[in-house]
Amino acid sequence: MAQQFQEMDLTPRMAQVIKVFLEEPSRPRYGFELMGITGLASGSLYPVLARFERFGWLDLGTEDIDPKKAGRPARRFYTITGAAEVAAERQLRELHERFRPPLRVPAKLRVRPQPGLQGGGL
Amino acid sequence: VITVVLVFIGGALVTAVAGAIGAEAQGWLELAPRGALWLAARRLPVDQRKSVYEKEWVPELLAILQEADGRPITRLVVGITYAVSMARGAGEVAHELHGVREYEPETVVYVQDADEGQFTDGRYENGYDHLFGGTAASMEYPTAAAHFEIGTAASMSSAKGNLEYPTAAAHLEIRTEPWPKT
Repeated sequence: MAQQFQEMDLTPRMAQVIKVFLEEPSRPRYGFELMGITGLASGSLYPVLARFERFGWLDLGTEDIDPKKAGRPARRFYTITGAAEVAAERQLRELHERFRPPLRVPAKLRVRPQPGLQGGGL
Repeated sequence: VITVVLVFIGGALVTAVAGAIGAEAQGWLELAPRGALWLAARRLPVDQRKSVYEKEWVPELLAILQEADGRPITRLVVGITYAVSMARGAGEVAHELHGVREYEPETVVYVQDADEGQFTDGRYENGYDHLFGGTAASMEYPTAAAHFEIGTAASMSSAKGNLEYPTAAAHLEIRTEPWPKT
């Protein structure tokens, strides 16, 4: 049964995973595919997916294949819920704002005072 | 001449034995990722193992192994990496899914035409036989107490009558799995 959506704060790792879902919200995603895109190992990814499921951010489905023809059982897939899509977009923007480097002149363009020269001598 | 024949036979024997050992080793290596994943699943509570291990982890592992078909070393490395890493995350998965993934007994619905078949040895024979298996959640029907899929049964019955034999009666048989032993 699908879980009721609940707000929660995204950690950087969770943001990394949910960002993949936001790229194509209607597209079902599979575990190994997510591991490849995010670079997370299964032991790091699946706890994140479980947390998303618990808080109603992801819906689960079963791959539509004939197991006999495919030679393997159908996989689970995950899709982002509508409420999670809105919340994730908002939180990713907030995270981006929070961790964006401050606006300043890059070090290589900064004019350093030369030794022996005194500023303000005019 | 005898020496040449002996060398030839010896060479053939060595090749055959080496091939057999290789095949045996490959057989065992094929089982290694599955075994490692099984060990990882021991960290899950019993009521989550079906939903998490059997329905989620194993199908994903088998898809991964299928993708690397014909490359035994890649299959081994990717499969073992998936399984061993899962062992590290299994406790956390179990914690997150506590109360979320409850045990879902498999419900099997048989629908058979009563007018076509004969009731022999407790089963209908020669009748059209439809077999559906699925969990309460996957079938998306209202689930009565004890996960008894009466909604599925009623739906199958009406579909059977309407589509193939409008006047046919159907024999329904519904089974659910027992709760797993702890």
